[in-house]
This record gives sequence, C-alpha cells and structure tokens, in this order.
Amino acid sequence: MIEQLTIPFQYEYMLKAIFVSALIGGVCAFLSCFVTLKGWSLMGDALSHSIVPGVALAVMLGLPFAVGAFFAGLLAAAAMGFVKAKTPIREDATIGIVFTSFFALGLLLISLYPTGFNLRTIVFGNMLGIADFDILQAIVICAIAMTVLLAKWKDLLLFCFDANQARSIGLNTTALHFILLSLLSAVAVAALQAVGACLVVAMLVTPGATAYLLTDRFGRMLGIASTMGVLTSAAGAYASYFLDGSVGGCIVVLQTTLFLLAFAFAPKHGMLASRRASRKAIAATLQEVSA
Amino acid sequence: MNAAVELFLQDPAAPFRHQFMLEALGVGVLVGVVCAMLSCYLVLKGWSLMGDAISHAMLPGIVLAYVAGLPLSVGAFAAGLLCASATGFIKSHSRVKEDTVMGIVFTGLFGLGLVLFTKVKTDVHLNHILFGSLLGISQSLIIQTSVIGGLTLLAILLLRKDLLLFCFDANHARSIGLNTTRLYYTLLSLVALAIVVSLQAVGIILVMAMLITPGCIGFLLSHRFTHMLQIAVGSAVLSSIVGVYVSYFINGATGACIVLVLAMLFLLAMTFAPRRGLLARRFLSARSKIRAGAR
Repeated sequence: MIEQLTIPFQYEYMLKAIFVSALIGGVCAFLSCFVTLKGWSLMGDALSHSIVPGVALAVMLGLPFAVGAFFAGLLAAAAMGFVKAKTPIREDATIGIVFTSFFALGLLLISLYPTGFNLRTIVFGNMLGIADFDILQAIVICAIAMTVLLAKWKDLLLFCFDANQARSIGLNTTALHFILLSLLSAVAVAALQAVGACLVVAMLVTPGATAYLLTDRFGRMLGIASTMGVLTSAAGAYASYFLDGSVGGCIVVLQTTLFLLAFAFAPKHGMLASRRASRKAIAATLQEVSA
Repeated sequence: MNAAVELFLQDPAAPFRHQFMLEALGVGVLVGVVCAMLSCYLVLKGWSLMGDAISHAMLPGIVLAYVAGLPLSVGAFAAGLLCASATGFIKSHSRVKEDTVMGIVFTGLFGLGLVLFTKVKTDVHLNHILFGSLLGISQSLIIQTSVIGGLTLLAILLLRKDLLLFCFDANHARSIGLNTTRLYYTLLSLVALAIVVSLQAVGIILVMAMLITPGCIGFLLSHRFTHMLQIAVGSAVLSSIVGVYVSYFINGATGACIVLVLAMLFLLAMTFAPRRGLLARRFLSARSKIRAGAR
C-alpha cells in the first residue's frame, strides 16, 4: 500500500511536476490576495486568455514564450484601458470583448501554423512533459515576481485596498497599476503551463478568497493563501498520477473544495458561524424584549 | 496565405457548393441571431461575465450526461444553471465579491470536468466542445440545435418587454408588479440555452464573445433598444457568414474566424459610430473648443 503511494516519487517527471506546481501555486496564491482585494478576478481570467496569441507567435518565431506572453498580456491590458476610456461601454464588457478577440487570434494562429504549442497545452497545461528550459523559465518568473511583491507589498496593499488613499499620500498609483498588471501577466504565463489557460484564474483567485474568509489580517491572509497554494498544487500534481490525467483539474478541484469548506465552516465569516451569530443576536433581542 | 488567395480566385463561390458548408452557415447564422438578441439584454444588465462562467461550468455536465446516456445538452444546461445558482448562494452568504465567487465556482466546475473527462473514456471530442466545430455536424445535432435555438428565440421575443425593463431597472420592474425573481431565473435559463446552442459553433471559450460583442456594437451605434437589437443581430449574422466563408479558404478554426470578424466590426463601430465613436467625439470636442474660442 505504502509502496504504491510512493510510486510517483520514483519518476523524475513526477518530481519535477510536483516541485514546479508547488512553486507556481505558491506565487500565484501570494498574488491572489492582492487580486481578490482589488476585485480583479475578471482581469486574471482575461490576461490568462490574452497571452495565448503571444505564446503562439513566440513559439513560431523561436523565442522563449514568456516574452511573447508578457507582451501580449500588456497589449491586451492597454487595449482594455483604451476601449474603456474612449467608449461608454461598461468595463466588464470591454474586458470580455478584448480578451475573447485576443484568444480567438491565438486559436486562429495555432490552427493555421501548428507548432509544439498546441490546443492541449492551452486546456491542460503542460506539467507532465515540461522541458528543463521551461522549468528554468518558471523559476525565474516566480523569483522576479516574488522579489517585486516582497519589496512593494505595502504599497500594493494600500493601492488594492484604497487607490484614492494611496494617491493622496503620494504613491504613484499609475506605476502601481502597471506593476500589478505586469505581475499578473508574468505569473499567468507560468500558471498557464501548470494548469492551462482556462484554470489560471482559479490559481489567481481561489487561495486569496479562501484566506479572506479565514482571517481579518492581511499578513495572515498572505500566509494562509500561500500555504494553501503550495500544498494544493503539490497534492494536485501528486494525485493526478493516480487519476491518470489533468494536473490542472486536480489542483483546481482541490482548491475549490478547500474554499467550500472555508465558506461553510470558517470561524467568523463562514456560513454556519454567521448563521449561529444571527440566531444568537435574535435570541438576545427577544430576551431583552421579554425582560 | 498565397494558397488561400489562389483558392479564392479560382472559385469564390466554392464554399456554397458543399453541403457541409451550407449547414455550417445555417447553424452559424442561427447561433448568431440567438446570441445577439440576448447580448443586448446582457450588456444592459451588466452580466458579461455570466456567459463566460456558465459556459465553462457546462463541461462536467456534458461528461456526466454522456456517462448517464442523456442528451449532452441536458447535462450542459443543468451544470450551467448549477453554476449560476451556486454563485448566487455563496455570494449572498459570504463576504466575498460576486465576480470572485463566480471565478471560483466556474473554474472549480471546469476543473472537475477536466478530471472527469480524462477519467471517463468518451467519444465526445473535447476540442469540439472547447473550441467549437461547425464543419461536419451530424444531422441529429443540427435538428437539436435548431429546435433549442428556435424555442429560445421565441421565448426572448415573447418576453422582450419584461426582460428589457428587468435589465434596465430591476427595481422599477418590481415596483410595477413584475416577478423579478422569476425574470432573473428566466434570463439565466435563456443564457444557458443560448450557450448550449452555440457550443457547437464557437466552443465554450469563445461563447462569451457572441454574448457580449454584438450587443456592444448595437449600443455604440444606436440610442434606441429596437435599433440596438437589429444592429446586434445584423452584425452577428454578418460575422457568422463572413467567418465561416473565410475559414474555408484559409483553412483556419471556424469559431475563431467568426469571433475575429465580430471584433473587427466592433473596432469599426468604435471608431466611426455617429455619436459615440472616437472620431465623432473628437470632432464634437474640437467644435466646442472652436465655439468657445469664437466667444
């Protein structure tokens, strides 16, 4: 039994997958606290889809695909900003139009010029067959993202929490906006490899939202989210060996399960706790009235 | 690319001589009409993300329906509604924002769908569900699509006034005695049905474009809802036809071509719209500056 459970650790590709997933999961989760606070969930989804044409082009031109993806992400963000500023259309609709167009362009490119980057990678990620160069790329991206996040986390926190306040105390909010967008694009590239384009948004939202239900302090939220990101990603990659498939699916299902548990049982902000609290409040009021 | 041009010059009418191309055009146009009608309501209501979430959430429903031997559309529809109601429930019982909850729920379901899909051996083509495949649709699927699409269209037409008021101002709708809860679920169901119909044409990921872009084009070009509807339907039908037609020659993904044509129409509308377009706005502001200067 125990022998069977350790089988995945005997394969080098599984060890690589578990390690890289855990790394990416941790960084995404750290960033997800900011994303949840800022309310940028849709942005994460949009960027992860928008980088697809960049990746396809970069692979066609023989460049490292992080480069193409990063530029496509920023271009999409700029396009969203432009359309939003110049038309009376609501922001979420703007984001939707831009990212579906980018994604469609990516699909068209892939269908016209089949390369190593195929539809499977978009849907499933490419964790089990990840090349050493891509691992290196992911490590570099994660290292840069974490450095920026750790150096700037207070400014970013204030920006996400209350942009007006941040501006009024003299922070450069335009720069912070740009930094956060760049971080999202960069991390989305790494996450795309781990879980595929459709599920990147889960890595960028779920851990943060789960931690948000469990604590009121941002420092603790960062800790809970990152731990959850690392553990679920490692466990998901591990479990995928036995389930014979989709690493991304396993990771995300695990994360969603944890979110649902937190939603039901969180000590203060969970559904049961708030129901108990409201029942207590009603009882107290009734007692006061009768007394 | 040259091969495509050559092919085109040789025989521009070639696509219309193939039965499968004609079928693709027919289904594409039907999908365009249904989605475009709905997109006008969704744009007004601000439900752009909803279409995206519901469509992704349908994947596990499709796989389970296959296992249970039910029609795939039934599973897709049920999973789509489950996603929408779970989002509503979690949102109203926790302090997490709605779009975040939606992101969590739909990715959770989509992830589950992927796990199920790799576990269960189906003869459903994942690529077709995700990216659409208009070419070579089976006869039974064409009938199914036409029936569901027709019924959805009929429901939208019958309820158009109630839905319009609900989307424009839900409070007002409630105050004049409309049942807004029922309208909420009706609109959700209509969106889910429209997505079921469109999955075949453009796939799970690009359905969102069909459910947003036509409405936004209409919104840019007109101030009246009836005109908005007409423009939205017109642009969706045009892009379905042009997209399918172009994809024949360049041999590219059909769904992607449709969405890209739609995006181009949006760009044109954004630039040249008579009152809300970029040029018109620039012209108006220049004129008002000149007037201010003259005074």
